[in-house]
Amino acid sequence: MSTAHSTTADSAIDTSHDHEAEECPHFGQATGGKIAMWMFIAQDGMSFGGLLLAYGILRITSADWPIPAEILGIHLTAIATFLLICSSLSMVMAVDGAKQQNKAKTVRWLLVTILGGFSFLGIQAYEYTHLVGEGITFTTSTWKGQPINNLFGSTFYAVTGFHGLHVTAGVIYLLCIFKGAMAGKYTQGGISYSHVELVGLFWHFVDLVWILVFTLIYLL
Amino acid sequence: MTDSHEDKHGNDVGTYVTVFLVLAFLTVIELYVPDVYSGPERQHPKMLLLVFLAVAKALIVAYFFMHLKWEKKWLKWIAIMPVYMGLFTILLMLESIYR
Repeated sequence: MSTAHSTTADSAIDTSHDHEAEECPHFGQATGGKIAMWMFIAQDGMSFGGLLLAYGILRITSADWPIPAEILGIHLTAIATFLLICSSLSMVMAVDGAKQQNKAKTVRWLLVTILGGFSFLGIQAYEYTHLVGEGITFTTSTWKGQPINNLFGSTFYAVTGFHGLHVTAGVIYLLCIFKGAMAGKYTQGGISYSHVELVGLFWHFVDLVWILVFTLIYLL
Repeated sequence: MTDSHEDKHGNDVGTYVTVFLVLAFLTVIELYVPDVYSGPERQHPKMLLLVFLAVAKALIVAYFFMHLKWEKKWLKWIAIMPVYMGLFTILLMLESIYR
């Protein structure tokens, strides 16, 4: 019994290391890591969904909700949005480089992605500093000396802050992968590229969420 | 190596650049929508158009950049899980509108 079990386990390990191995009928050649990352992303997506749903309900049921575009800087945020889209392109190029076992390409595009993440966080830090100075805080909101609906600041910081934490986590994750990529860990062939693919999935998810947040919080 | 699955040697870089350009173009459109649809009487078309553009962009990112296009059915089912929440929200909204 135990021998049979270990044989099964061994074959599972062999399969995970052999890219040309027989495909799983349900998940194809997707690794356990990729399936786990997608499950995490799905759950994380629901966390954001909960926050955005709460934001929507609070906004719809408030008669005195200010027009976001008049308070939040749309143009600066549009640049931040564009930066995230650019970093998604660089991320996908890094994954491409790892698949091609091209270390230089992987490292170069990972670096560009990290710089994009840092730039986004820089813009967010500038925006937060500016808004707090104007009187928009997590618990109280005033604009040009006049009190406005406090929920405006609360929901703004709750949603964009939760996203900002994801960007921060993503940049730290990317830095760890960057270190491994410099050492050539992910360009050795087989499925060694999968670590870059996993950080890519997370990073694109962060971009995807921002696309929705930008529309719902800033543009509407 | 099956064509239906993600290619180990990478996907077409041209596809990625095209997707990026489409995302950038849709973002530019998004920025002009609030100006074009200004005023309280045009709130609904503005909202519908902006939400449509955002959802389209999100799906493009998931489908191409997150490689869902090249994944098997089960992974797509996992990925679509949060969408159920959106459908549930729409159901609740319809209930409150047509009660």
